Formats: sequence, C-alpha cells, structure tokens
Amino acid sequence: MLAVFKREFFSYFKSPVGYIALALFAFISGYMYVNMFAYAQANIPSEIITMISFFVIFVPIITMGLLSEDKKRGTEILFYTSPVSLFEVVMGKFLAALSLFGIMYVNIIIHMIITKSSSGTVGIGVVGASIVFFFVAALYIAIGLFASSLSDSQIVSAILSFVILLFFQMLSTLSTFISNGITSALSAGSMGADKLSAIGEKVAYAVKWLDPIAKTQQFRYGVFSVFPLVYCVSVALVFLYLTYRVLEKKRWSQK
Amino acid sequence: MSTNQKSSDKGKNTNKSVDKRNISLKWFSIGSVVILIAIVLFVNILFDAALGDKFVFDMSSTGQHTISQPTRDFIDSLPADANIRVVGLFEKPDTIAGSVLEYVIPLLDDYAEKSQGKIVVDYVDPAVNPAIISELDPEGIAGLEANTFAVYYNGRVQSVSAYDCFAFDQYAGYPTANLVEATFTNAMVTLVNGFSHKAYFVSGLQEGPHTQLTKVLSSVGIESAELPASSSFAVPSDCDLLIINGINIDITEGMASAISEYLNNGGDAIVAVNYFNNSTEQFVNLNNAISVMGVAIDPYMLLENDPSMLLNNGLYNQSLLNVSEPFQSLATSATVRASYCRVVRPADVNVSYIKSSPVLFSSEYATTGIDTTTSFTNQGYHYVGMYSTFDGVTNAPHLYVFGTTDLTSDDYISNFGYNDANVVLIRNIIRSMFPSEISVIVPSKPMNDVSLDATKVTVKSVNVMTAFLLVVIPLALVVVGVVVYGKRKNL
Amino acid sequence: MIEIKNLVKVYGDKKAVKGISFTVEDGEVLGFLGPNGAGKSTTMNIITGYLSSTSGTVKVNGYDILEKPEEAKKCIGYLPELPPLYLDMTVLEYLNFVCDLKKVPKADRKVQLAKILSMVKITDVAERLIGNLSKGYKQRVGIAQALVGDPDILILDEPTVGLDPNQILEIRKLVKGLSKHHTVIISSHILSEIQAMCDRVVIINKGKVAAIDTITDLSKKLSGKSKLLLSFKGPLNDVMHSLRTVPGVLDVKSRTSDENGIHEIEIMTDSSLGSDLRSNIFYTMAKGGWPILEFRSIDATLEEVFLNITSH
Repeated sequence: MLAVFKREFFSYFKSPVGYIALALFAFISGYMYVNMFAYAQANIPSEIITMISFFVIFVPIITMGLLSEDKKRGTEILFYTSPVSLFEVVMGKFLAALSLFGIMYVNIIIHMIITKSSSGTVGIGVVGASIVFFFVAALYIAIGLFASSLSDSQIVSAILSFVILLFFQMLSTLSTFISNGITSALSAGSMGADKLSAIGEKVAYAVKWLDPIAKTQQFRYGVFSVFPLVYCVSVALVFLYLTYRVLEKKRWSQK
Repeated sequence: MSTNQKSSDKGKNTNKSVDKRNISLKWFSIGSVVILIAIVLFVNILFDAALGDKFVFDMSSTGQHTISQPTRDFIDSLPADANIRVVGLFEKPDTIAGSVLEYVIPLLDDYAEKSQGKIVVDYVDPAVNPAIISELDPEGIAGLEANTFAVYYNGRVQSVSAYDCFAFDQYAGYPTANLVEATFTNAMVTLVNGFSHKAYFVSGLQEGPHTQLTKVLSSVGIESAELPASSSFAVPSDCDLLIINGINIDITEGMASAISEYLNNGGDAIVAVNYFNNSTEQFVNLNNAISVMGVAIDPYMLLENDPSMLLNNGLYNQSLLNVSEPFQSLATSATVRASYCRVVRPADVNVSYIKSSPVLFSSEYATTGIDTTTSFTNQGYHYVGMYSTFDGVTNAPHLYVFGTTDLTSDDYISNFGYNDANVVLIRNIIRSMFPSEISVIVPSKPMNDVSLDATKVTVKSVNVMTAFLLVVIPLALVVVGVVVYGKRKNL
Repeated sequence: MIEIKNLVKVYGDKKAVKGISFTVEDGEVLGFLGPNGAGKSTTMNIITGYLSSTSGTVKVNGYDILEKPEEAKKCIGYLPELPPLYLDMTVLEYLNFVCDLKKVPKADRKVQLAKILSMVKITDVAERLIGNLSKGYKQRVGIAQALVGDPDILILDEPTVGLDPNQILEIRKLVKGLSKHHTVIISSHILSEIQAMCDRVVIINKGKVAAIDTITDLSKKLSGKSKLLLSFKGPLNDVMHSLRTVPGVLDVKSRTSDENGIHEIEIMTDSSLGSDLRSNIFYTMAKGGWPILEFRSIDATLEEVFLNITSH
C-alpha cells in the first residue's frame, strides 16, 4: 500500500497535473477569499463549502489517470504479479489522491492565518467545514477511482466520474424539484394531492438522504453529527471495494 | 452480463469442470458487493434512525442548540408558577435535518428542559385540531397560522415564524445569523412585561424595508409601527422614537413642521439618509425640520481619499468612518463601514442651548462633491453622523442624524448579521436613548461570524492580498510545475 | 520448481489454453516455444498469477498460485511481453518503487539494486527517465524489475522481441548469465533464440503442448538427417562437385567465403549410414589437395524441428 501511495503521490509532483490542480485550487479559493476580504469579511467555512462544489471538476482531474493509465501502459501487471493485494493497490492510490487534497487545503490554512491576523474569527465552523471537506473528498475520490478502473482512457474516466459526481452534486437540487412538483400538485388541488404529497415527500427525503452535502450542512456552524460521516466513509468504502472487484475481475473474466 | 452468461453456459456444455472456478469467482464477486452494499445501507439507516439524533454535538461557540445566559437569567427571574406556552402549529416532524426547524426545535427543547416547567413546548396541528387557534387567540388579533409558532402567556399571544428567526444574506440568500433564541426570548419578554416604548417609522417616501431594524428595536423592548406620510401627518402622542430611515424623497412642508414641533417638545428621533439613487434630492424640508436641533444634511457625497480608510478598492464608495470619542463606549470598533454617504454638518443656527456633536467622521483627506462630477473639493474632516440635544432642559429631545443608511437598512443588517460593528453601534445608541431595566439582550448566534477588523482591509492590503493569493501562489505553482516537468523531460 | 497440471483458460467461446501440463526443474532454463497466438503469454500470465486459470493448477515451489498467491509470487520475477515500465520515472525511482512493491527490506535494497544495475548493465542510465531510453535499455530495465527481490524463478516473455541484432545478443548473454543462479522460463517464437539460451524446450501450438524434450534429443529424434560443417582452402566449385559424388552425401551448400579463399560449406548426409562418411570426405579432400581447416557435425536447427512438429 505504501509503495503504491508513494509512487502515485510523488508522480503528481513529477508531472504538470498536480501543479496545475494545485494552482487552480489556489486561484479559485484565493479569488473567493480576496473578494470576501475586500468587504472586510472572511467566511472561511463558506469558502471551504464552495470549494467542495468545485470537487466535481478537481476530482476527475486528479483521479482520471490513477488506474486507467496503468491499464493503458500495461503497468497494472506489476500489481497483479507482485506479492501485494489489489485492495492495497486501490487504497494506496486512493490515499495518494486524498493527500493531494491535503496539500490543496494548505491554501485554506493560509487564508486562516490572514483572517486571524486581521482579527477575524477562525472558529469551530472552520473545523466543521474542514471535516466535511475531507470526508466529501474521500467519497468523491472513491467514486473517481472507480470510474478510472472502468476504462483505459483517461478522458473516458474523467467524463464518467464527472457525470457520477454531478449526479451526487445535483441530489439536493433534485429533491427540491420533487418538492416543487408536490407543491404544484397541491396547488392544483387534485383529489390525490395528500397522498401524492406524502409519497413525494418520502422520495424527496430519500434523495436528500443520499446527498453528502445536504447532510453535512450544519458542520460549518460547528454542529457536528456522526451519521453523515459514517455515510461518507461507508459509501466511499463501497466504491473502493467495487474498484477492487473490477480489478480482480480481470483475473477471472472470460472476456 | 448476458453475453457473459451465455459464454459460460456454452463452456458448461463442453466441459463441466471448466466453468466451476469462474462461476464461483463471479458469484463471490457479485455476492460480496451486494452484501457490502446491504451492510452499508443497513448501518446507515440504523444509524440515522436510531442514533442519528444522539450523535449530534453542538460545539458551536455560541451553541446553536443551547439557550444562552441572558435567556436563563430571564427564565430564573420569572415566578415559579409562571407558565409560558410555546405551541408549534404543525405536527412535530420526524426529521428536521435540512430545514430551518433544525435550529428551532432542539433549542425549544432546551428552553423546556432548563425552565423547570415555566416554559412548555408542544406541537398541535390545526388541520387535526382546529380549535387550537381560537383557544390561544380567541379574538384573532395575533394572526396565528398553521406552520408557525405561537408564544402564549397569560391570555396574550404572539406569532413567531421560523423564517423570521434568521437574517438572510440579501443576495445569496444564505442565513447569516441565527436569531431563534433572540426572537423567542424577546417574544416571551414582551408578553411578560409588555413593550416599554413605541417607535414609529415614517413610511411612504420610497424608503426601503425596515424588518431588521424592527427586530433590533424589539430586542431592546421597543414596539414598532408605521407612520405613513400624508397631508394630515401628525406624530402620535404615544411615539417615543420617530425614525426616518432611508427615505429617497423629501418629506412635505407640513410633515417638517410636525416633526420640528415634535422635536421641540422633547421628542426623540433618528434620521438616516444616504446618497444613493437620490443624488438630486436636497431634503430641504427635512433640513428645515432638523434645523431646530442645529443639524443639516448636505446635498454632497463624501469621497474618502485616505487609502488606509478605503474598502474594496473604493468600489461602491465603500470606506471606513471613525466613531468619535464620546460614542466609542457604545461601539465595539473604532470604525464602521459605510458607502455613498451624505455629509452632515451643524446647521447655520445660532442657538446657545443646542448642543450637537459628531458621531461619525471621515479622515482629514476626504473631499465632498456631486457624484456625477469629478471635481471633489473641500478636503478635510467631514461628519457623516451627528447627535444633537438641548442643554440644560428637562425632557430634552435627542436626535441622531446619519448621512448613511449602513447602520439601519435591511440590506446592511441582513448582510452582516446582528453582531456587526454597525448594528451593535445603532442598537447601543437606541438603548442609550431608552434605558430599560426589562430589556433582555440575547445576542444573535452567528451562523458564521465573518467580519474582519475593517481597519485592516485597506486598498493597500487588498492589493497585496490580490497579488499574493491570485498571482504569486498560483503562478509559483505553475512555474515550479513547468520547471520540474522541463527538467525531468530531459533526464 | 514449477508444476503445471491440465491448465485450461477460456476466453468467451474460445479456449486459449487447452490442458497444458509440464514441470520446470530447479536451475534449468526452459524454452517456451510456439507461434504467435499459441497461448504462450496466456500460460505465462497464469503462472505468474496475473490471470486465473479456468481449470488446472500451477504450483510454484510448492505454493498453489490461487491458494497462496503471495508466497508463490514472491518466488517469481516476471517480464511480461510489454515491460511494465512507468515512463515518467527514472530507472532508479522505478526500481525503488518495485522494491517497495515486492517488500524488499530497506537494508538490503542498496546492495541489491547496485548488483542488479551492474548485472543488466544499466548503471550508467540509472538517473535517466525511462521514457527517454532506447528499446534495448527499456527491456533491460524490465529484466532488472524482474530481478528485484532476488526471486528463484525468472519468467521472461519474448525478451528479445523488437530489438536490433546487437541488442538481442546482449540480452542473450545476460540471460545466460542469469541462468547460473535462477530457474528461467523464456518464451519466444524465434527458434534460434531458444536454441541459444535453453536446456529444454516446451513447444506449444494452438493451446496444446506439441513436444517437450532437451534440444539435442529433440532434434535427433525428429531428423533422420545430420549435417556436417566443413571449412577449407581451395576452389569452391571443384570441392562441391567432388563431394557430391561421395556416396551418402545428399546435398552440399555453401555457407560463407572470404577473400583468402577460405570457404565454409554444409554437407547434408544420410545419417543412417553412420559416421563413416567423414573419413570418405576427408580422403576426397586430401586427394584434391585442399586443406581442411575445420570439420565437425552440426545438429538440426529448431526451425526444422519446429516446422516438422507444427506442420503435422
């Protein structure tokens, strides 16, 4: 696991990809921070949460090559024929990508220092938002890694993970749509409105239940709850395991 | 999947033992994934349903879900047999996550728990039990509706909507301050004690809304009402504070004489106008009205030229204003933010008993002029806020005149929350005008306390920050990336 | 030691490997020969644990590759057909990564890597980017990768494919050196390659073992003819003409000539007549006054063996 982690993590810094992702993150978060700063405000939790909505772009860039490149270049055979478990390989790559997010987070720390030195508050909300940052990153990276295992083309993997992540991102919007549908049905005053609203509400709730962002909304105010974190970690685990199974499938698949 | 199945079927025909291993591997793979997903779903649902609420930790500095000391002191001051009833006019929802109620219901539970029976919280859905509304409010004056809360005490009732318990950012719409506790405690305080004073907002002069200032007033025990501009305008006798907030057209002559009479008789007033969307308005009548207190509003805009006072690169005319010495005890910061300010100055009246003093003033480099021209002159200190009273008179009037609405407007208060320096200053000014022993000040809970020390956000520091965060760091990363790539490429 | 029993691998409707069995003894160099698409790479991929077999067993030093994959894989160094190289790493970075992967203890690493680098002669390119190396060097890095962890068994899939003749010779020399301390399996579709490097050969065709034998036995068994090589000084045409008249000589072919008038010829003989022919040839040459510089018998090439087997 450590071997794969080391190789993937350092390879981000041996090619332009890692630097470009870092520069992009620095620029976007910096832009948001400066804009707040100019109004004598520094809402770090809100900045972090906004950066999470950019994960849908960052994660595919960072994860697209993790497994697809190995497949394309034939280097995956190293993992299959070395005395390591493929799950360790998956975890190594996962942790490498997550660590890159750790490096990106340094930007936010810089912003915190500036905030502190301008007598702003860096309170518990920042801790909450940061927890959300890393847990959602973990979930999204697991998804991106899974997408990367499905193809031997970086572009295809990137598009695939973008689509899945977009779906996750849209969950809350989707639930609003459903709620709106109910409201319009109610205002139409049809006979079954009550029943429909009950069903619709349940569906909307279920959709919202799946949304990692909506679940973790209170974190940025310093109100922590364990359940959303369990959710992120366990769903990430499902995707990591799926990735592992996809790799393992190559051994016995008759295709 | 189907082709896979087909191929393995074919294999089975040719050699039975051949496919065993593949099929068992495939089923192990599919089975383990299914089992894992099932376990994860089960654990998550179980966690959510059984333990979800228990594992919530309120670590916020102000405790979003916990009542604060002022409220506890108020509850302790209530007699042991006091009975305040808070009724949610809806069915108590199973799940509150993701709705505003998640800040309301747990807090109300805390009220109930800590009041030792003085405060009772229950939920009655008027759709199920329609009698509840007439039971709480037989005369129908409080306007109780489904999906709101009713706070009931001793035959009196107040309606509280959960949405009123938050200040929202005017543009992005996200909540900036949690006022749930402040709102409910204030409702209880006024139900128990009644309002101590009444303020009238002069309305109908193209002014903006004043929902937020109303809440600020309510929090210091002052009831608010509208006083529409009309030809028969008169200041009501129960008016303790007259507020002219953000009007964009001048008052009439008749109103001016009514107001000056009110002031001359010892009335208190706050006047706030700015220089935005009303640059041609000279406020002649308003000036006539307040001239009895020796204050005048200029038809000029203030232009701050000191870079250390400019905010946001001077965009939208944002700058800092100094709070003058006598008023600093009311302020939490030596400066406040303002934009598009009018200049306020002592009026050219020579009456010895008028005692006026500046509240807010600019730097010595500020100039004044008309917005549409570039020729700003008259460099020096300028006032943007003034206080005036009569010296040596019992029942003396108190007048505050501001050339900015950034202390009083909904726009500003919503944007920056109730703990912002500007809002704290105006609230303390009002409290200083109406010292009340019964008002209970519950601080708003910052959803995120976002203000920086405004004095550090100067044009220079913003420029440095822009260069550092938007140019230096990203560029350095890109350069390092290019250098490393270039070097390695030729290894 | 590797024991392979009844190996079958099915891809869709197609059987790529149809029941291959053979054993590789410790210390031997086994050639794995077959035309493209015969199932060589598939078999090697199964032995190294990359693919799982549809049925059949592979035991590496007694460990079943499916049941105890980690132990089995520790014994094997594998160079696949396409060397698994990260082009964006330098040779040393890459080999260190492989060390990590194969769990080589940190203490042994420096010594072992230095040994491998000098063995495969890539010390001078150790700091260079793999992507910038020539094909021959890349292949050596691939072999170096297989040597990491000092495995007992080396499996090299087509190690010389796509290399120029000089590089092929270098790789052959390298493999010969390796065979002193390792059990080696080499696959190839080029016969001279196997001939140059191996003790024993497994020939597979269409997913089946066509023959297993030592190279010398195999060539003898399959050929009734034997060949003699003769090097002499004298007129080529006269010599060839005279030798054709010797009874038992089937054909004479010229191999090389140089400007000093030294020629090398191949003489096909009917081996059923025994080695008596050699003295007859000697006397014929002596009679003509043509001095013999070299005279020996040569075995049939694997090309011939292979053509014989696979065409049946």
